[in-house]
Amino acid sequence: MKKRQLIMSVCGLAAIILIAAVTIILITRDMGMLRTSCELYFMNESETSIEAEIREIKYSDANRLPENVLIQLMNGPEDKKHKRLISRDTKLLHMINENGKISVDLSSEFLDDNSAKNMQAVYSIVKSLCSINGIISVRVTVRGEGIPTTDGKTVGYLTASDINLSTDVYTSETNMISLYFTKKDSGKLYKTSRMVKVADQQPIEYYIVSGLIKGPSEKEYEAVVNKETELISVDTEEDICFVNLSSSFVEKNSGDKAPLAVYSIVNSLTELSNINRVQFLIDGKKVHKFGDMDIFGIYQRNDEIIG
Amino acid sequence: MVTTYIVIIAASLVMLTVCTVNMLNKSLYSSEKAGVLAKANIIAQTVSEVWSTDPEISTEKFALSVQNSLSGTRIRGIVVDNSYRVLYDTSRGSEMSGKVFIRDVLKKSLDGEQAVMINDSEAESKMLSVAVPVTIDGQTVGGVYLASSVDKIDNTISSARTSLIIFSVMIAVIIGMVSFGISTIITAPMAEIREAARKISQGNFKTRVKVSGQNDIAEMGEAINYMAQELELIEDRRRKFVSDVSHELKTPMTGIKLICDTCEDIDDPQMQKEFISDISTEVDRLSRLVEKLLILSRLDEGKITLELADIKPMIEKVVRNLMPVAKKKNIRIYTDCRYESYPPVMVDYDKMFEAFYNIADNAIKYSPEGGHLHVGVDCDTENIIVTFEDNGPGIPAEEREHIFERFYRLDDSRARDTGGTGLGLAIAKEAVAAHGGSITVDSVKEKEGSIFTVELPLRSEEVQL
Repeated sequence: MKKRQLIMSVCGLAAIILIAAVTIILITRDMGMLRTSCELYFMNESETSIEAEIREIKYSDANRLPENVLIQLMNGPEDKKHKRLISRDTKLLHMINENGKISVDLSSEFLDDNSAKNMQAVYSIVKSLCSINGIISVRVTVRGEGIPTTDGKTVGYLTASDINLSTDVYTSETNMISLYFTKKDSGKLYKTSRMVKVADQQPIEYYIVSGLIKGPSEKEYEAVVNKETELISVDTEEDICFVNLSSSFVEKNSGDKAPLAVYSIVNSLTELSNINRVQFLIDGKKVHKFGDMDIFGIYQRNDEIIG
Repeated sequence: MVTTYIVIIAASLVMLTVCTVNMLNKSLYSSEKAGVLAKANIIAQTVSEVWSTDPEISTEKFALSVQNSLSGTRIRGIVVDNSYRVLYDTSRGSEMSGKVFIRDVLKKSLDGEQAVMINDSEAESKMLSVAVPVTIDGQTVGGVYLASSVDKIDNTISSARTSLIIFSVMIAVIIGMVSFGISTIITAPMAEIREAARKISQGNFKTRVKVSGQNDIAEMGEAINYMAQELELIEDRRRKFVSDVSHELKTPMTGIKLICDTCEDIDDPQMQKEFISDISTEVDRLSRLVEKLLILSRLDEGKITLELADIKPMIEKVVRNLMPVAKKKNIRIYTDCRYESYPPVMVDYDKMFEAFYNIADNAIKYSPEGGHLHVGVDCDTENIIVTFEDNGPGIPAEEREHIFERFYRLDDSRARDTGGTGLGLAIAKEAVAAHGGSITVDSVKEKEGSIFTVELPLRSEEVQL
């Protein structure tokens, strides 16, 4: 009886020591891991585009980070709204990183019958890997062969900027514009900067004047152009920008602040290299009276009003 | 009331504003979507005829057709192949050629659909984006994506909404003022009329409504006042009638009571017999009174039974029945019928007989002994005319309008002596009036003789049924 109890006690102690050892190894191993946030791209809920999912990726060696990102990508999304693009059976055959240019070779399970889906999977890999610092471009191949495009060519190296998504903040459509607003009771104009995405065919001048009408996003500044002002059109010929506003511009904007309103538009527009002068039109016509100002003529930049 | 009007009108105006703005919104967006979709399809068709997936070639080939369709607009056009690779972009500054351009609508177009989307999160301005597939021999080879700012539509809708709200507020204010005016003009007098009607229904017949102007409300007020006046008159008559009936009943009852009390103390059988005879006389008086009241009550109910009757025999019967009374006073009754026969008239025989009897009886009662009563029957095209002329003391002019009132007597003590109830002429007047006729009284000479004239219409439709 005593012998049996002794054997059981020894076995229990051995099991506890084993579990403790495994736990310590795992903790030690995890503690040695580095972590970084990456954008992993998956199919969106409506299956019409790819969307980023911010994930924390562990890695022990910077060279292993792209591989870990790719493995996480192949493991699928964590957000239930997202859907996997890469088959679970896909295997990473090779990954070569040459000074930020990565070549990813995958097994044939990567390819789907739907070529559009294949392209989206390639784009998700490119966008995901390019979210790692130092990765410039990515090329995806299947068993050493390039992914065929509709024109019979293959998909080569792609950068993140080559793939334009509606959710991208910075793209080739993004422009920095300068807008002049005032501060309370200062009587001066102050320059602010704003990023705008020109998604349609409107000229950048349109976004500038619209931005002035919408007002500043910073609390310290105040708008000088009334929100009810309507912008009809903006056209630039040579170096003159013709700003066509509805009569609400002269009706809704206070007469005392007329110089600030005029020069906020003129100074903001003349920040563009191709514009030196501004002509105001009210409902398509040249008019004289706006507060105490005569806006019949062409206006040039006024640096004295800048605070 | 006014609050309810204003709430209903305000709700209607809000609904009108919301519906109008929604309709305008729908209409403008539908129009814009249709226009942009049409342009996308035109571009898709023209680029499919010069299709090339090489961006360097496609830029040149697509430029003409895309720019033709989009000239004069601020719509951005992008043509992609089915790998989302941009083959042509109208926005040169975006440098998108050869790059991948993925949008939700483009995915749908590459799946063969014509997709439309309104997106206000992509850029600062609200954007309408459409995409249609480019097909060659039934195969989708790419897509055309068009994007247009819809800020101007929103501005238009916003302006329309502002105008509608201002218009609605103005309408609400005007309607509020008009409602207040209407309330002052209509509702307030109506409330006064309602209050007056309530008071009248509670028996306050002196209540009157202030009537001003000549409108429907004023007419209603006048009608209420007339009703109150009539009710007041009826109520006065009723009170007087009750008072008179009480008085008329009380007098013989008091007499009977006194006689009975006296009888108790008298042992002489002869005296008792005389007293019992007096009681009998008083009871007869009471019976006559009650009988007359019953006749009046029936007349008040307006129930008459019409039949064709000849007036001449009726008058002759009245004279025959009164002959014994006349003989007692040595009064001679003359009957003078101008014609041999008269056209029959529709009358309630008993009631008209009662009327003629009462007038003749009244004339006999007030005629002096040895006097006369002249009863004449005449006829013209419209009426049967019956006259009763006596040589009594006559009726003063100022009393003539009262003698047909119930319980009205010229000489109260004399009337009682003659056994009059004060109801005979009232019954006569109401019976004649119920047949659409009239009864008047005049004097033969000053302070001598009276002539009662009864006119009964020959046309039966004038009879009050």
